[in-house]
Amino acid sequence: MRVEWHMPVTLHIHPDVIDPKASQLRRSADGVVQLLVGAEVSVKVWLRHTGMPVSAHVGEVIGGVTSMELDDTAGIDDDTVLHADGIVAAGDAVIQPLMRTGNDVDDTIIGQPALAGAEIRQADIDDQTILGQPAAMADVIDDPDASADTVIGPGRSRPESPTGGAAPASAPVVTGTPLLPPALPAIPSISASAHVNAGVSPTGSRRTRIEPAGASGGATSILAVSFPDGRTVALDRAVYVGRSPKSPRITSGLVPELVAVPSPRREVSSTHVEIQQEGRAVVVRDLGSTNGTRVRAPGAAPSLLSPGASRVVAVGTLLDLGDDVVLEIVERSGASW
Amino acid sequence: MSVAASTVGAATIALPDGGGHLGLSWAAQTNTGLKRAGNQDSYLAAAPVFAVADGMGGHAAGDEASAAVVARLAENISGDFASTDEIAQALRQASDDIGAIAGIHDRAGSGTTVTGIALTMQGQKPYWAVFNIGDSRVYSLVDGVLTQLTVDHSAVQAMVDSGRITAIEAESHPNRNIITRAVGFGKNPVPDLWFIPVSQGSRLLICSDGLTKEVDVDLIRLLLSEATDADDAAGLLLEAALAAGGRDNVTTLVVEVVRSDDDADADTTLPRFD
Repeated sequence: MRVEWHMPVTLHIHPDVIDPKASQLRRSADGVVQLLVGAEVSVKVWLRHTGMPVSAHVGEVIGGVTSMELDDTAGIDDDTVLHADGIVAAGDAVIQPLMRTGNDVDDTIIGQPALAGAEIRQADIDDQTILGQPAAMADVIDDPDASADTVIGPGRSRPESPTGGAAPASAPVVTGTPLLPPALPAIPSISASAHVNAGVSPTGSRRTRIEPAGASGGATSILAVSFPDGRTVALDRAVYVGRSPKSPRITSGLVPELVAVPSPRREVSSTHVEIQQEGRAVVVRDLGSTNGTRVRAPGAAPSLLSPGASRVVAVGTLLDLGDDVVLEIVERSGASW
Repeated sequence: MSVAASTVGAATIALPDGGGHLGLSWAAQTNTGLKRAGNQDSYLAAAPVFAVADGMGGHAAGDEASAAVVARLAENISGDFASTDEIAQALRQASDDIGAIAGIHDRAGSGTTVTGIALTMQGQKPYWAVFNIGDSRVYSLVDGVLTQLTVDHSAVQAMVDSGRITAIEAESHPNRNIITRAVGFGKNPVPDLWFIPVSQGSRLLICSDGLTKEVDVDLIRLLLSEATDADDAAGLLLEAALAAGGRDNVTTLVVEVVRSDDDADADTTLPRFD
């Protein structure tokens, strides 16, 4: 590979310790051009007014360099010529760009959906970026002009009702599995029959629909969660409880409530449980905790909510996370803490 | 943003109500790389917000788009802690700015990714609000474990999510350079958000795809964990991207939590026997 400058530069050659076959040019604070080369790369430079190349070595500072040749066995074809136009070695910090001829460029592409496929190869030579909208992702684009199926925005109306069906089959993946099965009446008293899959981790790419409780079911009262220390947190948003809870990915812009609880014996997981109000129902989801969550509905025997499982619960239900952390679903009284 | 630039900084932030202090140190480096004509990446490294933006669009438009979004973040966020409302407002304003830029250049296709972290208070505890639009990324290194916090808005990510390809296949997929959301292009810029506890000793890496498309996660983890400090980490990661080919602009921004008096308990959960 050969690099040429229109104006002579001062070259300072450094070792590249990361890759024995690598070479790179960069700015130096004192106005010279730094060349980092790996141990397996040999460097020859051409100086102003001379025709014969000179071998250059790590540690050298060479003035008046007009071009150089790198014998890197790494596989950059020897025919490649870098025109280092615009490299200025006089301290204005412009040492790049380098224009490489005869090689592809790995561009980010931002393109229109129909164009995306065709534009990819084109982009290997064009320095252009395209916002893509492949068919599978069409619904995910946050386009205010799009249909009501757009996945973002806390204020939108959902197609499903609290007593009605699940999300339509064509719903984008981002909306995730509906938390309420289609046949579930939104009456907390039959909550024990509701049990939906939630084999998910609390972080990562899990899709969670987080919406204001009122968005799905008209005028419903907002319930709350009370904590052992006396705090009461309203369920007007999703609540995450644990020793040091994280949120999952939030696509709606609606910030959840993250409540840290003490657990000296470390029985409570860092992000243990998610509590959300869905219409008039409250859905408790164990987020794959180590010890699960013990649920005691009013007048019923306690049962274990297995790690990763979800359940619809009624007001008055106690949630035992371990280490004496017992939460209760309550009617909201006053503002949250 | 100049073709090559770097920033280092540090801050000590008092937590409300006598909750002790947070100590942060950070460093950022950006470089045009070895193939591109200009650097369209921009970054903001100033507590409480740290962000990287990777501009897209011909000639100066992408550069101005990424610069606009970091300028709006800097302008809207002041004080020791940020709010998600401030982030949202900054992104909306930047989107308007980019629309105006596109008009000046007579180009419809101008936009930018933006990803970053902002220090917030959630329920009386300090949290990083991690925000993302596009395919720049945030990683955390906690107790030696590297975790990618953001999820790309990209065509290949959608295919991975739907199970059509694996994450490994995504790295070499021909569509890997298509992103599906950006600030600009007339779109309402709603970022994905995550809230992550601030834990002492953790390092957070915010980077453009010029790093992640050149350097695999194993080397990222190695360099981020072995570096002596944030400045060392940002430099090592940038050099690794250049050494691997430097085909795109590359920006590395590393934030280290050097002190957290309200440290999150990251220890393993123990079995319950009662």
